[in-house]
Amino acid sequence: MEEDTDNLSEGGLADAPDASVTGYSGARLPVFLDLDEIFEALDHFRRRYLVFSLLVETQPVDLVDAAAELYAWEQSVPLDTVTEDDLTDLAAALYHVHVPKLRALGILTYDEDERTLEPGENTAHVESLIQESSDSFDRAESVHEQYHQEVDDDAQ
Amino acid sequence: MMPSDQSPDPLGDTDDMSLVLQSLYDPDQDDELGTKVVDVVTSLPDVDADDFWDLPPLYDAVDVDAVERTFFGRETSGVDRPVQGIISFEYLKHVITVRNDGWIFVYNS
Repeated sequence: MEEDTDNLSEGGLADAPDASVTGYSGARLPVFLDLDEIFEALDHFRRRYLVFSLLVETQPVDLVDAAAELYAWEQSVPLDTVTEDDLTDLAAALYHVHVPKLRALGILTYDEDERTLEPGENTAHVESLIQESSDSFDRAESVHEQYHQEVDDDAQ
Repeated sequence: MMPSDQSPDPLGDTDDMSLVLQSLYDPDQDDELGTKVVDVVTSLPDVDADDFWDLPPLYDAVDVDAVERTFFGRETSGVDRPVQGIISFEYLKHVITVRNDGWIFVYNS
C-alpha cells in the first residue's frame, strides 16, 4: 500500500468514499464492512499476520511461504530450518480456516492455482486499525530478525 | 458422565448413520481444531484426497475457529471454562461431531 496512514484521529483513509461512518478509532470506514467484521478478521494472531504480510508485500504472498514464516515465528526457530513437514499443519489451518475467513470479508483474494494471496477490496479498511498492532509486529519482528542474525553468527 | 468412547447423538438421527471414525483433539499437542478435523477427514478411505489442498475449505462447512474458541478457549484470566456440548456439521458427505472434551466423531450420513 503506497498511501501512508496518518495517525488515527485524522482518519487514515483520505480517499474513503462518501458513504462512510466514523469508526471508534476516528478512521473513516465504508459502511459495507463494519467494525464487528473487521475485528473478527483481526481476532487471531495468524490472521493478523496474513493481513500484515499483505500490507507490506508488493508481490502476491505465497501461502506456503507465509506458513513457513508463521511457523518460524510461533516456534521461535530460524526460517531456514523450517521443513515442509513442520509447516504442514499450519498451512492446513491457513488454507481451511483463516484464508477463507479473510476472503469472505474481502480482505484478501486467493488464487487457488498459484496458492497466493493478494489484497482484496477491503484490505485498506483494516489498514488503519492494524497499524496499531503492526507497530508491535515491527518491534517483535526486529527481535525475531535479531534472533536469526545471532543464530547465523553462531553458525559461522 | 458419558464414557469418553461413547458417541453422542449428533443431530438425533444416529439410526441412519454409522460411526466411521473417532479421534481425540488435544489442544496442547495438536495445532488448531480445524487442522485436526481436516487431518481426520483426509484419512477417511472414501475421501479422495492426497492432502489438505485437495479438499474444499472447511470454513464453508463450519466456523471451526468459533468452535475452538467456545470449547477450548479460556476466559480472560486463563481459567478453563467447564463447557459441555457438541457441535455437528456436514463436510464432504459426512456428519462430523465435535464434543467439548475434544472427541471428534465422523459418521456416514
